[in-house]
Amino acid sequence: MKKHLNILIFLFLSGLFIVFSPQIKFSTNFLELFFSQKTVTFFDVMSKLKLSNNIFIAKKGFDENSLDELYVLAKELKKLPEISKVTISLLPSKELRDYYKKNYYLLADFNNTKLSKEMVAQRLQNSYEELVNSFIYMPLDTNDPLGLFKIKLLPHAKYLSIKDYGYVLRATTNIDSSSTKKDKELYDKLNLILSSHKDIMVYAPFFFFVENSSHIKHDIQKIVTIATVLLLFLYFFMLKNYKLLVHGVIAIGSSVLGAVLACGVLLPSINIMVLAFGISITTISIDYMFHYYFHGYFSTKGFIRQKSVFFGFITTFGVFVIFSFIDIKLFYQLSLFSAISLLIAYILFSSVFTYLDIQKPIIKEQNQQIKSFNPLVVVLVSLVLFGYSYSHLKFDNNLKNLDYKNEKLLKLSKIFNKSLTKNSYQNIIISAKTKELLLQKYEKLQTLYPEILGIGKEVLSEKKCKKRLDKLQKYDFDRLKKIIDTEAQKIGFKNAFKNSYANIKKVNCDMKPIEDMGFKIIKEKQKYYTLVLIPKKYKVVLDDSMQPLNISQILSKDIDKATDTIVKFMFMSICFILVVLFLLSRRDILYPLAFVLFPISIVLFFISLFGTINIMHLFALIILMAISIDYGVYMHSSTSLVETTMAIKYALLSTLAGFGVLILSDTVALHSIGFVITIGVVAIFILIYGRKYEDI
Amino acid sequence: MRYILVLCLSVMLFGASSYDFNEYKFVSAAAATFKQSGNISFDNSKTIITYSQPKYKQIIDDGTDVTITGKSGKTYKLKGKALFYTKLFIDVMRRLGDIKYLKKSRDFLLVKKENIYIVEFKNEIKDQVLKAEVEAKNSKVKSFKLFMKNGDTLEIIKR
Repeated sequence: MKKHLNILIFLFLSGLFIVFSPQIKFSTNFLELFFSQKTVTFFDVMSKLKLSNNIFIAKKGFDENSLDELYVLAKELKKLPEISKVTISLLPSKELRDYYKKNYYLLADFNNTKLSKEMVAQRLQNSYEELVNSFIYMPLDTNDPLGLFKIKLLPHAKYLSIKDYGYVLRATTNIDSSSTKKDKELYDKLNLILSSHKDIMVYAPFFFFVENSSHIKHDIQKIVTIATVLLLFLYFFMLKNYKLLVHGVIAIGSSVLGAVLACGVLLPSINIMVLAFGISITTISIDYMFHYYFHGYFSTKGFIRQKSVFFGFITTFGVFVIFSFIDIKLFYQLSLFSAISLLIAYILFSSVFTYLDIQKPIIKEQNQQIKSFNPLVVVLVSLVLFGYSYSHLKFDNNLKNLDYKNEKLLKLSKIFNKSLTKNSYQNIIISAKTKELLLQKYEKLQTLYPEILGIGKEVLSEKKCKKRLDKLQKYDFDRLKKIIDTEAQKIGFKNAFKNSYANIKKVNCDMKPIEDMGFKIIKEKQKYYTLVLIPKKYKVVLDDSMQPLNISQILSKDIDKATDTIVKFMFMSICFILVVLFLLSRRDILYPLAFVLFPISIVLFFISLFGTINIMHLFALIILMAISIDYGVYMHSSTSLVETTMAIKYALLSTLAGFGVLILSDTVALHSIGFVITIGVVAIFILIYGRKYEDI
Repeated sequence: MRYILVLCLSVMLFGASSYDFNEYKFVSAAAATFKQSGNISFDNSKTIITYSQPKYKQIIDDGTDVTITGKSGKTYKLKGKALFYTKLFIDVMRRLGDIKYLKKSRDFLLVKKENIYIVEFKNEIKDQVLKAEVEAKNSKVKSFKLFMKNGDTLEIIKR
């Protein structure tokens, strides 16, 4: 029975997982992992405002054939359920034109200067002369012959176009931009439709998600294959103990299941990314297994009371407990997960494995004695490297730099953004508690920045509308109409103005935004939001209700804040490590400390030589710290260094195979983790093997 | 050799078109008709209307901007309402003046009565233009007349 305890525990935990898994919530929202609640809400607002739901297709040429082809494409696109709207012409839609007609007198700026008879006559005379002498046809505005109302509603081009290329079609999708599966489906459908068209350029912001995800997926597949081959080679051809391998995998499986169940109870949801990294960190516990194995502790009956493994575990565990207090979801969830899984793994390897009858391996180098390095020199070198890194390292807070560089799409996005978006404007999202207050906020901005664009151009606040209505009602249009009728006849007009300023008294304040306005108001968490465009020439004074739509800047702010917290907690962890190492080694503290400081300082030194440090480097440094503590403690406490060295060698090779291969990734985020782990592992190897072996 | 030259010129001119016209503009508000004469030429990227009578004026629509040049050579760019309407009517003139465009245009509904095509506009032009009548002979447009909603008419007769 005890021989099968490891398997039984795994089956028990699997059973618990199957029973309770419906209650455990898994989240796929990666944004919430890194960013503040404010930023996550901001992304939700952006998503609802549908600012990145456009697909642009440009056809080469400015002729009828190009336009015809775009109209054919539009027809095909309209058949797709994911496409909600397709536009080629920039002219207002029928709904919008009807809206303008209905609200014309309220939307237009009304000059309520009282006009004398002479002034009316003069203006009509000018209109008449223009009409008679004009060589281009311009219909007479019989609704407002005196030009009392001024409004600019017409676009200056009929079609959207890219200069020196051709016309552009704009399609709007109704898919949720965070749904990778739906994004991919639409991407494939679009490519199928466009495959039969030539001289076409297509771009949509969601293409980045699809293409980059696909690239990263292939990248990960490549890395997983390499890691699997390396691990198989390590276990099957070097270690050759299949029983140890199988039970090691089962124990790690149990640790992961235990951590998932515990986190399921303690956390409202477990992020998938936390799960993935958590499993990777759990594999660090293989250190304990190798240490027990090479020292022959599995022959012990009952719980293995081995000081160095215990101190190694308790220090790593303590570091993760400290990190679980960081107010960044990725770190506190991951730290909690890792602390629990490492605890379970430690208990399993220290107790259950003693019933498995695993024999100590024969080590050829048993008769060698190892001369230690001088820890003071290593610590001093580490401090020098820290000093160099501190003065040369620069932090890269731009998250875009962590992603795969999709040159083709970046080039297309530049072309389309330059031609289509209003490049001379700064995009700002404004918010308020009610729609009315939001529109009033827009109107306040309009007085400061008259060329502002936004929903407020077409929808007035109740307050402004009533004010305009009052202005209209106070003006004597009846008198004006009488003068117009008399004077127009004298000038030569033939009954042209019978409908002038008609229905002006029936106007009322009932303005409801319509879809085609281009701007919209959305509600998110008891607040209303809308996008406004303010010309770049203005230096906008921002307040709490205004957020510039500069995603990189917003994310960078969050990343800077996160980095400060992480660095603070890293110092706290180092203090904790110092205390534990002091308790363990007293005057010899420099020796285990060298195992912690040297790899980290070497990594930082190399990062400062090759580039800038990013948040994924910091993340990997925490993993490296967790690994190196164990080795420092083992190497210091061990009385049989050859076995300890052997155990560390296998554990390091496992880590290198699991994490180090990430250095081969094209994705900067993954490459950064791989870079830190590879350099760190090499540094630990230097400490272990950079010493003399002497035969006894 | 001469045939080759003709062929080359035809190839070069393919896609470009030009015709002289008389324009009759009836303004209902003034109950008067005004006549102008000129030439319209267009290729894939540009339309040029040159009025010779009663005054010289050249209107060039390059797809983005519309510029007007007077006899003195002074040029100015159209803006706002003037730009919008000029572009709209240049576009309509191009389409109605060519039977090929007329027949395949997605913006019109066509009804043929003997030599006359009655054109009903489908899009935003409908707000301004009630209908158009195009007279064609042997698949060639001879003249067309736009009937505005305000009672104005604009007739182009090819010369």
